[in-house]
Amino acid sequence: MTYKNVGKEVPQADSWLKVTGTLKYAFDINFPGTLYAKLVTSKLPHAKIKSIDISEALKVKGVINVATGKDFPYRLGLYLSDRDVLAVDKVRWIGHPVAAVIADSLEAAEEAAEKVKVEYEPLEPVLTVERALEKDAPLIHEKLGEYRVFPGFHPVPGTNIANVFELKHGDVENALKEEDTIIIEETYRLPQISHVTMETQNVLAWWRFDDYVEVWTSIQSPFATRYLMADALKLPVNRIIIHAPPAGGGFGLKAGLGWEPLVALLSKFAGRKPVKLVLSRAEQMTSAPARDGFIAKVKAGFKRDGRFVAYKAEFYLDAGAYADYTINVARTAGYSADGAYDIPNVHVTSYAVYTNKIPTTAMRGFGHPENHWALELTLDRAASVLGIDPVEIRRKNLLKPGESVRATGERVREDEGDPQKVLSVLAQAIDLNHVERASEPWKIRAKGIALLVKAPSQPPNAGASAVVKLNEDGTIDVLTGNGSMGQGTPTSLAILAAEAFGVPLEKIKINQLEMVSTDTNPYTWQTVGSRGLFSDGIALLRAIEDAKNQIKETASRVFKVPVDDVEISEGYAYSKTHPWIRKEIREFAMGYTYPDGTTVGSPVIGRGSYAPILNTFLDANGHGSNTVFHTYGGTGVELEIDLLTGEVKVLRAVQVYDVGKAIDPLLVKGQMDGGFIMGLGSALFEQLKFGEDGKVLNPNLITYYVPHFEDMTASMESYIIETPQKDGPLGARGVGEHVMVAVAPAIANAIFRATGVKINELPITAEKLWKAIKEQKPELIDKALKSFFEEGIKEVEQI
Amino acid sequence: MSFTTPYFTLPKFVYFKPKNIEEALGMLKQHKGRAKVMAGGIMLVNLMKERQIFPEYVIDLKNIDELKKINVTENGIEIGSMVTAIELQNSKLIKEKCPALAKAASFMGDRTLQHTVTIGGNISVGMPSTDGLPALMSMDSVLEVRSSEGKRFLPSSELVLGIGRTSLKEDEIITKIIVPNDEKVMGTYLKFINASEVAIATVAVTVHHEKKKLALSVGAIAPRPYYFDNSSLQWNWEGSVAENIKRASDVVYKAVQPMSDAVASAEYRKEMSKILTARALKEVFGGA
Ligand SMILES: Cc1cc2nc3c(=O)[nH]c(=O)nc-3n(C[C@H](O)[C@H](O)[C@H](O)COP(=O)(O)OP(=O)(O)OC[C@H]3O[C@@H](n4cnc5c(N)ncnc54)[C@H](O)[C@@H]3O)c2cc1C
Repeated sequence: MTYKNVGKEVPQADSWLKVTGTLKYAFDINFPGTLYAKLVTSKLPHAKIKSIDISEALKVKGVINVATGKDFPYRLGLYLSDRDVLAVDKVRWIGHPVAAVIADSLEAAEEAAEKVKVEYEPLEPVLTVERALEKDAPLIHEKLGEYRVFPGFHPVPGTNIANVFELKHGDVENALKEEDTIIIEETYRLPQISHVTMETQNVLAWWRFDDYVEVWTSIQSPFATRYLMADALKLPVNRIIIHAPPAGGGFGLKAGLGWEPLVALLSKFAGRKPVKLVLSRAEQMTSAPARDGFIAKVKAGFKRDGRFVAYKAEFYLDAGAYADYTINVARTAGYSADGAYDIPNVHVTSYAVYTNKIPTTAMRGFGHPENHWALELTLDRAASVLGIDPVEIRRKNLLKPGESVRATGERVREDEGDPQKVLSVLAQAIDLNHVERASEPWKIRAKGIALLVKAPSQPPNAGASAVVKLNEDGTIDVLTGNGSMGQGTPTSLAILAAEAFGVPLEKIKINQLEMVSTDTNPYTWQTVGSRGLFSDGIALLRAIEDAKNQIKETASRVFKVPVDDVEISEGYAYSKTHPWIRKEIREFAMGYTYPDGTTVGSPVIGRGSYAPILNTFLDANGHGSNTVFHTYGGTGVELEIDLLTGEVKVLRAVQVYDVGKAIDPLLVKGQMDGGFIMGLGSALFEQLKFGEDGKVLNPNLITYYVPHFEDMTASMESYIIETPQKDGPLGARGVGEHVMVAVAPAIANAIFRATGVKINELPITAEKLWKAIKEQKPELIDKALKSFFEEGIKEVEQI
Repeated sequence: MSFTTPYFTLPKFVYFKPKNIEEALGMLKQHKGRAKVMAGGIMLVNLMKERQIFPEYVIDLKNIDELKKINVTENGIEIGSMVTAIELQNSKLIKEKCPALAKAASFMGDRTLQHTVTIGGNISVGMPSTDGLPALMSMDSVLEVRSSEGKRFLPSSELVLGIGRTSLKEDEIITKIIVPNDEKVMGTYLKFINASEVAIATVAVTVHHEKKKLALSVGAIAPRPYYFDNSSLQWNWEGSVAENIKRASDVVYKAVQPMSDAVASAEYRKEMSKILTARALKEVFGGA
């Protein structure tokens, strides 16, 4: 199939505005007379609120009002309504918003926030998963049993377990017991990390006098936000109007429901004036959610020939004070724990556990950075014990499209992608067994790989819809619900539209320049899970079909030929049998008008929608069919370890993804590069550090370190494989999140392969690696020091 | 440096922008204890934003041209306290005569901040990881400190007393940094960071070949930088450089007693002091 627009490297539609600094984010939207909100947050990790004294705060000039939890008795949540708007009765982490000041200037709001006095009665804080699970641990959510729970989830009231999920397939215990089974047993950990969106969360809300609530906010999923807000505030859905300008980064932080209900309520509380809340970086990193911390206890069984026969795992997600979204991360980590492999016996139990720390939510990868960290490291540990090449052990165990069955019982579709090809391309590009000498004798060169597979984790009815409108001059307006946060999906959707309509890309405008408003744009469930291009794309192609049918209908009357003789291409409608009979499609845009004014047809507006077919919730054994597509991929790295310091420098990164069809290869590569950099940050640097009281110690970008330009030492290569997804838009499947998942496991595997040093916990900072080498292979450091002080310095004298 | 508080705004203060040193010193005396001088303002404004300090008066030194000059006098090279990090890097004189300082200046925050950061402000912050101080110490520099009462000279090694604490009195400002004007100066500055912008260890070296003088300062590992010279490092000008470097690294390793904090452990800092010392000396003697 040859395409006119699809497959060309097209920059993102909003790039020009971005590079000129003129794109308007939610942050930039202001009304005259807008009031400012400032949060007052808890200084204790776990405590009863005895009293809140706002009298001094109210005296500050410019202060309109101060709200506390009692003013807003609503419960919030996507999968579990465990959140309050402001703390009611007790606080659950250091940073928990207790009150909010509304003032006519930010200065007044901040001054007054310091004057709100809260009296607490301290409770024992629960700061680790281990403590949270003990029988006598204090309860963080006493009323867990009363919260609204989404179908398919299982909180355990009377404990700190927000959700438990079990996946059972085959007979693990037996398989592990078999005499010739070789066991790999490990505990892996991941720290809480921050999303670090460039634009912090910010909301402008106006509870109008007509009781419509208008909200401008930096989010990914306007429709989910609207529904959840309506549900929480007990308002009709269409009373809430969410405007979502392009977001300065999302990464899962801005999915679901954020600060919108609070700010809307503050607007009402302040006499229905617009109110704006902008989080500072410190607030973002202490009062807003992060990604869960993770513990995996793994027991894996392999046969001598490398067959992966049993996988038993317990996952514990440290969900922090609220597990609202994280319970689905835990469930997802559980049901997809078998990754890209055909393992006949699997038993995974995955818990989301409350602690008195910063709450957690969705983040890019959604359970897969977690479960692949455990799985992909285990494979390399097994390969080493068995003396098998990391590529071979994977080749042997990969799922076979059309044949294999996942541990959930879901059949692996024939058109799911080509995992063997992904592995081969990766293996060839990285060439694991050819490792060059390091640049210095005290350094070690290393290569490693990791694979992954991921599907969107969504409810069975996660739908999408789209509208296309043909304008008088033949230009086309496309409307979808797809949130724009830098991922580029709106651009890909525009390319799809141009292709399907057979018009140049310039004729397409998408989503009012990427601003999505729930009042004007059609519904899509959420912009998450790498589902946007797939779900919204299918809906869009259906809408275009509908619009084209309307044009054909009118054209057939005008051309006096049967409808099925009319075809549309290159901006024309024409008769297939009499191709000289043709007219530009713009002539049909508002219906066709004859010279005497007689008009046939009417304005062209196409609609299309999509919902997954035959998806279900998972049953008590974790069985069911809950995915729409899977994307396979892998990362290979070549790196150098400085044995003197423990520093890791990645020299080369190879990313291979089977995306079905690259609608815009430039955007696919952009995701791969961006995903690698984000993966590199989480592998080597990123970690929220907690004090003994659970306080975040590094809520800033000085001591919470993300990759800088000088850390971009790797040349990045990306390989796109295109095994079409039959029901995907022109064969495409999603790839947005995937590209960061395998980076950290590939790095850890490279280090292990070259040194034999096991690092089971991220981040692999220089000090951590240096200490691990010192403990596990001290001779490597001794040798390095020797060569550095002998050979390394000898060079000096020769110069 | 904590950067943990949530504020966007500053506490209220009165702002002055005097035109000469005398005026500035007069204001400092008048509002003694309630005023702070502002150089680039990078740290000062942050400390105010963080609600760690609440000066009622801020005295901005940016209009005082005589503090922005680099001069050669019979005393040596005189660097005004308001010379910026970018100017230090771009000055031919500084690059030639104070190589450790020119290099250290390239690490003072990012490129954008370096247009604003001043050498006086940098060393007055008193943070362990401050880049300017180890360089100045390796150059055996002296600070000219003035108040409305007069002036005094303070060895740069005696400026910082502890974390965030200096030996400057409330009405004193650093006006100049005076560096010996030697020929054939070599030097460098190495900064080791990982997974945090705050340095784990830094090393500054300055060597006067003809005078057979070597000084080395290790920063960021303790509240105050460590100072070593050729005699404490047991440097033997006749011996093999490799042997010397090895011995010097051992001396440093044994002498330092680093702190443990959120950035790095004492054990790791100790080891990195050794490695960095060797690397810095290797760079200077190898010309690499
Ligand atoms: C984001 C960020 C990154 C940073 N990175 C680094 C880094 O990499 N390396 C580093 O060394 N530092 C760093 N700093 C710390 C500090 O901001 C810089 O060191 C900077 O040099 C301060 O210089 P300034 O001219 O802006 O000083 P100011 O902020 O104006 O002053 C700092 C302090 O010194 C006092 N002061 C200023 N001038 C004088 C004077 N002439 N006499 C007496 N007292 C005076 C002020 O009253 C104030 O207390 C960083 C700071 C920030 C905010």
